[in-house]
Amino acid sequence: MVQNGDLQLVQRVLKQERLAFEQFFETYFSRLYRFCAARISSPEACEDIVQETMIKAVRSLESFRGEAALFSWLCQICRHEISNWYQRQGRKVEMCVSLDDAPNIRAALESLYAPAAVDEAERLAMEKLVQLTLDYLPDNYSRALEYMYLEGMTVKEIAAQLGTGVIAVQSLLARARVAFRRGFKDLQQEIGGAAYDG
Amino acid sequence: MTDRKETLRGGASAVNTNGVGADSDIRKLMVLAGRRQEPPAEVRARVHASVLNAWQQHAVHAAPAALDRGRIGLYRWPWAIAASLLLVLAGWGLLWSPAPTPVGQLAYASGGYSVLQPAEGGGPESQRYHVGDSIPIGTLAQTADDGYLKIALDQGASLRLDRSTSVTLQNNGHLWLHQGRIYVDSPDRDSQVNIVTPFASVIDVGTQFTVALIDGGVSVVVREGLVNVSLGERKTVSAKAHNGMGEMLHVDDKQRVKREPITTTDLRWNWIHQANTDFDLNASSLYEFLRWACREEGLELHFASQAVELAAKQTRLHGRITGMAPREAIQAVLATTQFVSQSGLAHQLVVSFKR
Repeated sequence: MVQNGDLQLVQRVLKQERLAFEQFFETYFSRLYRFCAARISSPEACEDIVQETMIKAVRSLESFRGEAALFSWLCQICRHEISNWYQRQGRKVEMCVSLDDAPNIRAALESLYAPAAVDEAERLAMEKLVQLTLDYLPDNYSRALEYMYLEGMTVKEIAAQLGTGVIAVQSLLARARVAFRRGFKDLQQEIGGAAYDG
Repeated sequence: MTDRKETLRGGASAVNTNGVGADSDIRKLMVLAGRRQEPPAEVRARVHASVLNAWQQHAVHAAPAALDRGRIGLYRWPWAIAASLLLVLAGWGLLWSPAPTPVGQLAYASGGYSVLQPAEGGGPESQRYHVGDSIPIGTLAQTADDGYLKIALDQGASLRLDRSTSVTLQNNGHLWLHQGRIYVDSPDRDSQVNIVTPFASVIDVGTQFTVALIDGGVSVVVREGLVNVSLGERKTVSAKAHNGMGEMLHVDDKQRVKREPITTTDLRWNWIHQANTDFDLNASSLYEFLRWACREEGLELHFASQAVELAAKQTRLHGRITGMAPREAIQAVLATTQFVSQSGLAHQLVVSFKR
């Protein structure tokens, strides 16, 4: 999901455009926080890690080449910070459970076959999978999907919200649906989608 | 298997990768998953401040390195010329770039202040704004130790900055308070103002209030209505005003909360008059003037009868009240009319005909 927009945004941040910095922060802070919170139970540690991740990112944006999506690049830094945190705590990284860390999620999904509380576990897993997919999508894709399906906005209302035209929103939604389906399917397969096909 | 589980399995397995067909699969999944959780506002504020600082520091330190790289030999002249041309073109590009979204208008300023949009493209000059200018998202407004500002937000509320105050304006009535004290007059219940500080996030519910960073924490003082103060972790406390009695709520850096009553006419509100334009009496009715003055002073306005109220609406005013506090102006203006204020409760102004 490499986006030209990522590179353009990075270039603008490197030019010290304040608005670009705000856009960078607004786009990725919440997603990184959720990424981290899925792996770290302590809110204080999560705040420190996300802060450190974003500080390291803005100091090394020159090295971002656009070979991966910016969010994936940030997640790499965040994973490293999480690993450091666990080492400082004297704990093994493998103790953290997250949906998109394949070995752990497989175990979690296997637990779906347990006779008790299977519905709730499956619902939570599905909920996280959908939200994870949205976090990995370009921000305008996930926002457009949320406006439409969660807030019940019409295409016209979404256009007004995004400051664009109706045709552009229809096109955006079409691309967003395709990206969502692909992303969801990929993640599902990566983490053991067979559990859902049963 | 339950219906819900069948829906889950159906929803997941129905997702196809060819991107065609109805969208009911996505709708089902998204409704099932619900809204993505947002991090607490105060965490966002703290992280934002730290990352912004790091970014600005990095920019400052990166600049000398860039200059060093600029000490190039003559053989690099063609590249330097090309780079210059690119910069010129980039400048033209900036000229043609769409204007940032406006969030309000600078309505009043006195003393030392700066209202600016940090420069685009890393240039040394910032875009500065003056009284009457429309100001865009991302604007940083600051007052010196003798300065006051008033900003009319497009979503309906107004904002006043006390001396030595600094805020960044975001969109939809969202703003960061970096230091100092602000007063918010937000009469419309449908358009909320959200003030984010390092200690708490303050959201109004149609009200007048101040927010100040003071004594290692944040103080919220409510003069009218209700405000919710979010302390994170789904913990919210409220402060409200009723019958002339407001409330001051102080949250320290350990998120301990202290409350103290404060009258709506307390002298501690008086600084807000320094950050406002004088009321223009000309072409206004007495009724409009009294409504303005009472709102400024935290008074409830009452008329002795409907006839008095109607007469006040029909009474046109002329003249000036420059330099007067609203309470002084009330007496000065009433003295020139057929109306008088009756003695009553401290937080009320009751207007009747002169006998």
